[in-house]
Amino acid sequence: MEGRPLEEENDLVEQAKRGNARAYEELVRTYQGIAFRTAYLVAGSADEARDAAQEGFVKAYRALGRFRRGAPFRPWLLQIVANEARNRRRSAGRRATLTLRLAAAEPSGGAAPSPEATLLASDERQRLLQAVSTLREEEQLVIACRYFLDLSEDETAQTLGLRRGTVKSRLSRALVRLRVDLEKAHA
Amino acid sequence: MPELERHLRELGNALELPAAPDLVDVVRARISEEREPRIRIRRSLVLATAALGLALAAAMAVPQARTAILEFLHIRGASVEKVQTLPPVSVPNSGLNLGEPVTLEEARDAVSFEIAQPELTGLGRPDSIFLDRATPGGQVFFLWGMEARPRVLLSEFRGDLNRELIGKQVGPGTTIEPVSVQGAPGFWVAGANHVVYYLDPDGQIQEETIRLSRNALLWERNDLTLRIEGDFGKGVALELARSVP
Repeated sequence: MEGRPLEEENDLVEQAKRGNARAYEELVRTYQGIAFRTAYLVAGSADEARDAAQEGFVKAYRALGRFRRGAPFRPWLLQIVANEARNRRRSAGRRATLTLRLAAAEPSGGAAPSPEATLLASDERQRLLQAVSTLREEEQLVIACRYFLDLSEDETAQTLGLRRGTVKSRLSRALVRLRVDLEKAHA
Repeated sequence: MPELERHLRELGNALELPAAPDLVDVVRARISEEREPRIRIRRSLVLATAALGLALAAAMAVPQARTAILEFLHIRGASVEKVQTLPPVSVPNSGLNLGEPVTLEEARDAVSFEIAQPELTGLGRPDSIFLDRATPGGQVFFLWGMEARPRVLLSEFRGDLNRELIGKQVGPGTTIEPVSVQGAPGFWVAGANHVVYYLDPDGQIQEETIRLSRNALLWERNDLTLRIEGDFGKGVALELARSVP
């Protein structure tokens, strides 16, 4: 998970608030990866994701004065970035559908999988991705935040501007639909 | 953790996502610009500055206003260098007034000149292309960013930049400075709202109104005039202009 110890992060945020640009740069460096991926999943375009992430960092900097001391920085930032990405997607008239594909086959001969991992065969992965892509837009986004970006439920809620309960119910509904889909595919 | 959730995480790791760009320099530049608006332009700022929410241009033809102001300026003989008023700019609700969105092929078919497809340093190809048929010979706009949030606007049209014409319509707070873009003559227009005059292929004086844009760089290329606009300084504009093929 990308991030820093909360104490160190708080310290950087406080320094940035006082106008220390280097401290803010550290925050940008730490969170630019997750910010871009979040924006990409929401906007569906790499160019717009880049713009949204950049704009998000600048707006977050301007808004640092309103940032609650001691709160985690990452979900606060991601909310701003996701908002930027959503606005760009809407301006471009695109629907919030994930357009994802699997990377080329991983090189073989890597580290042995950990015993508890049940690695999926590539055709099963493809089937799972296909099943995710048939979910409702709102369900796709919570799945993407929660599992593809590995955000916590709280972070997912804040990033998408939803209540935690809404995230929970969307997730459980999405998981049920996925299970049904996959069982059908296996039947 | 239930198997399905683990599989979803695994799927997330196997997804092909575009590589995340390094935003540190560009964010640093934008922030320092806000804190210190008149910093010296360095090359590393080119991208950053260009990436600021940028300016727009509105092409308009206002024959009456044009005639009046040209008479007022005694364009063919007098030596008026500054005026206190400029024709009012009627801003369309849509904001940009760039004409119709087109593909590059459609633009090529519609205009009377060969279009140079631009690819700007650090910005790549434009996000959209527009065609303004009201300009004699047609005018093509290349837009980086979205219409609602333009970053850089580049336009191409047939025209001749005339130093005397250009110098006659400067409003207060606007400066015009001759520059050279890859050996071709050009003008750096900086400051308040301004109108730009040029000679169309028939030798007629035409007017282009540039709105909101504080700054614009115009330069000639053969029988074309190219114009790049945005909220950036001369150094950035020249850098971008030089990257137009």
